[in-house]
Amino acid sequence: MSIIFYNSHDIFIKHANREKLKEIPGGEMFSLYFKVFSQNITAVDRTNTITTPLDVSVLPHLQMPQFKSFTSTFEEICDNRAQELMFYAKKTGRKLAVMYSGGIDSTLILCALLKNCSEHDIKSNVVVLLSNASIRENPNFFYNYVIKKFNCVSSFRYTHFLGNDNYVFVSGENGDQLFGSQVVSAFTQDRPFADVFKNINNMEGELINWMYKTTFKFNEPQYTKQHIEQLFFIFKKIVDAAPVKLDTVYKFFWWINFTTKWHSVYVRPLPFSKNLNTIKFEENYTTFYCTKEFQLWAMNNHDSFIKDTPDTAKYVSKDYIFKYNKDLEYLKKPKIGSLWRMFRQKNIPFTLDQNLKANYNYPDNTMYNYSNDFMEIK
Amino acid sequence: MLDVAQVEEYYSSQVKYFFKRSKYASLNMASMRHPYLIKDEADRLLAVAENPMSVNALADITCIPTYSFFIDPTTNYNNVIELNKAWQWKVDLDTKSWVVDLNFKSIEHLAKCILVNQKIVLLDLIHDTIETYRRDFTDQLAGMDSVYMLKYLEAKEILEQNIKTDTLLKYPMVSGYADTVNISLQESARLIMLQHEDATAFLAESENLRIRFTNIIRKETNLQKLAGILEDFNTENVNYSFL
Repeated sequence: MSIIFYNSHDIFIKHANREKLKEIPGGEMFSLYFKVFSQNITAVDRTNTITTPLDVSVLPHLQMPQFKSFTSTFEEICDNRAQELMFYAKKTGRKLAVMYSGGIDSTLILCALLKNCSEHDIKSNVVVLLSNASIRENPNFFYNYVIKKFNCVSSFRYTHFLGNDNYVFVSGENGDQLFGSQVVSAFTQDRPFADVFKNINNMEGELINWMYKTTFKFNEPQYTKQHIEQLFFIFKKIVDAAPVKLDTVYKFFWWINFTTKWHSVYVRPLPFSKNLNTIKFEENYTTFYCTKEFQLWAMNNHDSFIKDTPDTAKYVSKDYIFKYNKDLEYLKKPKIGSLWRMFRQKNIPFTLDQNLKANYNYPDNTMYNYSNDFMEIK
Repeated sequence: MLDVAQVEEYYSSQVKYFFKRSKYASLNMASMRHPYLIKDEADRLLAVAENPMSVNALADITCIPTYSFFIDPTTNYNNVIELNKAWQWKVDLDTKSWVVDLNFKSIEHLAKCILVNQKIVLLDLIHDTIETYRRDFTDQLAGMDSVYMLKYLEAKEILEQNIKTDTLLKYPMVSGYADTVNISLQESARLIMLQHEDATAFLAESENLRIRFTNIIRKETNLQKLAGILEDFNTENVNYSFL
């Protein structure tokens, strides 16, 4: 049975498993993906342009939608999503349990609910899960709206809300993948931000150099620049096959994120759940942004992700929030981030299969892809 | 009995599995920061810990916490000991002071001493890490523990009894907080309960992690596997949060 989640840190990064990693075809080269993008990703290409070393099934509702022209505005999609979630919760006798970090994506969810649902429905049918860090991330919104309008519980309890059939667990995951990639800030750490708007074809050398330096930081001297170059062209293959024109470095990173991390962010909270047996995708667990409509909006509006400076990222989401709360101060605030706290101090399995059965052993050959692009790197 | 060369040879063969730490410590109550010692049933010193919880974690009938290290003033020893070789020291029953004694019954006996010694280092590392992570909640102004507890008790009563106004200032903590951040008494109470719940859950997680790893270390019998336990601990403690 193929898997829907794998613990990339323990499989591809952890020192104690170095010898076992050699048994996965292309596994050592694939481990560089996690050093460039992030250590905890169930990476799988939704476009099927490339194949990765582990046999991962993308959940049916997370498959890449067929590209087509799409004219709904971002605001319309957000409004519809909030209405649809509330309608579904009431119809099925569940409450919405919304993970709130105080960041843009989850603040937008609460604004969409406040804008589109009655005060009574919100009080009766919504529980917001948040932490002290969420309050610090966006204090104005917390004191003006969250504590006044919503029932609140600590987000440390998410492990027990997720999969509890009395709730529809809703997170702001997939929001980041609609607008870009966190790798952009790493790439621009030592260079002008304007470089991300340069033409990708003129920046290939720069990107390869950056990837080489990034992996070198992990003390991996066995990988040469030639290895990294081949790795880069695997990613480039995904971008070249895109149904939309992706001409800048920013869009290059966005598309890699959109195609290879979309599935991952949806499944990443699952292994922490204490109710694995009762999780039902899109019945008692969803993300606000995982719908086909949001994806088609992104594919049709990739010039609307950012203006010319980093603080303008996700400006359409910020505009939506601002229209509701009129808080100029928040628009200028840098991201702090609090989700990482939720994934600390816990242990998780190596893999989850399609029936959400947890496996606590290192993946064996029944999970390998014996023909994958990373085996070709020499 | 092993001879000195056998002891040295075995010790050297095991050093590659050791954790890094400061090599020497002065076991002088005045100069050493935390002289928490653990000895075996035959009064042989096994390890010196920086955290008393490390000693307590291994305490049983064969590993006994102790807090004194007396050296016979008539001997030539100074009171500086090599931490990884703490097991060289044993209580001399005649003088009731600690002396260097390399008489080990067997390699197994020496191996057991070295294992306990390194378990203590590992426990110290884990306790240090947990302590650092808990500082959000533990490094506070004097009296904060009482402030938080009073806030919690007031908030609990307000919510249980559905009190909407505090006309005679029966709840100074919750009322004061409501005024300070410009929210109602009920909202203030709900916010305090939320923060209490958040802190409790956070502390519970770190406490569960501490207990789980203490048990793993306690049961381990193989010195070579201790480094792997530390990697597992670091992974669970922080590495899954690199998103």
